[in-house]
Amino acid sequence: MKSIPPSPWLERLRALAAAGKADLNAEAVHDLRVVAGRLRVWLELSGMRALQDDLRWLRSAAGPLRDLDVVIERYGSRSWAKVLFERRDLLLDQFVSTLSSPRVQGLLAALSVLPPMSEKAARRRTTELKAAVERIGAIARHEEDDLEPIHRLRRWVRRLRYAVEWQGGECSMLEDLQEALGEVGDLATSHRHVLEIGAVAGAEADLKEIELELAQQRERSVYEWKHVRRDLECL
Amino acid sequence: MTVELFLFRHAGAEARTAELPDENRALTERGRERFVSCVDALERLEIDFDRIYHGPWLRAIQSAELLVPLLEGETVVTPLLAGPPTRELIDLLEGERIALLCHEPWATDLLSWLVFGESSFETGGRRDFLDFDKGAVAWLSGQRVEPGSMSLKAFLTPKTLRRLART
Repeated sequence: MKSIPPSPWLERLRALAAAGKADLNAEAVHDLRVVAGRLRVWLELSGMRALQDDLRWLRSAAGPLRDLDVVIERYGSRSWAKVLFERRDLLLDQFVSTLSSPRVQGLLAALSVLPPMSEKAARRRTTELKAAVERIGAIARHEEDDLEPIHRLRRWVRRLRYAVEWQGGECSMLEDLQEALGEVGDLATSHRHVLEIGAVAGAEADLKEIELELAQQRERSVYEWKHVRRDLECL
Repeated sequence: MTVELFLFRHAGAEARTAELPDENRALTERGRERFVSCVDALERLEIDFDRIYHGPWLRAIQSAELLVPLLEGETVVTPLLAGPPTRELIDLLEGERIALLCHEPWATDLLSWLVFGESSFETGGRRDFLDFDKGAVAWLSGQRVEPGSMSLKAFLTPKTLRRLART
C-alpha cells in the first residue's frame, strides 16, 4: 500500500516561511496560503486534527494581505488606490513578524516528523469529502441572495481537489470550478474594500461595476457547478 | 475567572536509540492504549479543554491527538514545550481550560515553578518530589497562569486514571 509523505509541499512552505519582506510579493503570499491549505488537507486525509489549527491560523494570518493583493491587481492603477499600497506595507510588516514566530517554527518542525499517510485512509476520506461537496453544492445552487453558500462550496471544492491531487490524481474540472467560484470570492473582496474607500473620485463607479460583475459571475459559477456535479462520479 | 491548567506528560513512546532522533520517537501501541484509558477517565470527570498546547516532537503531537476528544477549541504547536519552561511559554498561554503536553523533566519544572514560584531547573532544586510518569496529569488552578500563584488541585497517576476509566 502506497504511503504519501507531506513533502515537497512542506519544503515549499519552509522556503516561503523563510522569505524576507522583499520576497513576499502577491504571488508568494498566495502560494503560502495554497501550500498551507494543501498541507491541511494532507492532515485531514491522515485523520489528524493536531496541527490543522496551526495551518489554519497561518493561512488566516496571510488572508488580509491576500485580499489587498486581489484588489490591487484589479484597481492598483486607480487614483484612490494609494491607500491600499500603504495598508499592504503595514500588513506585510506584521506578517513577516508572524512568519518568524515560534508557532511557525514549531509547525514546520512538527510537520517534518510526521509519518506518511496511508493511501487507503486517504481514499476513504476523499469519498466523504465528495459527499460533502455534493451536499453543499445543492445548497449553493438554490440560495440566490446569499454569497456565503458559494464561498463555502469554494472551500470544500478546494479541499476535494487537493485530496485528489495528494493521491496523484488530476482534476481539471474541479480546478475550473474552483477558479469560477474563486472569482466570486475575489469580486466580493474587491467590493468590500472599495466600499470602505467610500465616496472618492472614481471609486463609486468601480463599485457599481463590481456589483454587476459579481451577479454575473455568481450565475456563471452555479452553472459551472451544475456541470461538474454530474462528473463527480468519476472521482 | 479561574484558569484550570492540566500538565500532561506524553504517552509511552519508542525507546531512544542512536539511529532514531529523539524528535521522531513515536508512541508505542501500549503507550497509546494506556493514554486512551487516561483520556476516557478524564472524560468521565467531565474535563474538557479550550486549548491543547503541544511541542513539535512526534510523541507530543500523537499524545495531543489522543486528547482531541476532550477539546472544545484549538490545538497550538509551540517549540517552547520542547525545552525548559520559560516566561515566553507562560505568556503564550490563553484560555480557561488549558492542556499542556510536556516532556520530563520540564513537566516537573513547570509544575514546581507555577505552584512554588521556583523552577527546579533554575534553582537546581529537587526534581524527584514527584513521579511524573508517562500519561500522568497534574491539575492546577488559579486566577491566572503565573509562577507561584497556582494551586495543585490533583495529581492523577496513569494507574489511578486507568482504574477510574474501568469503574
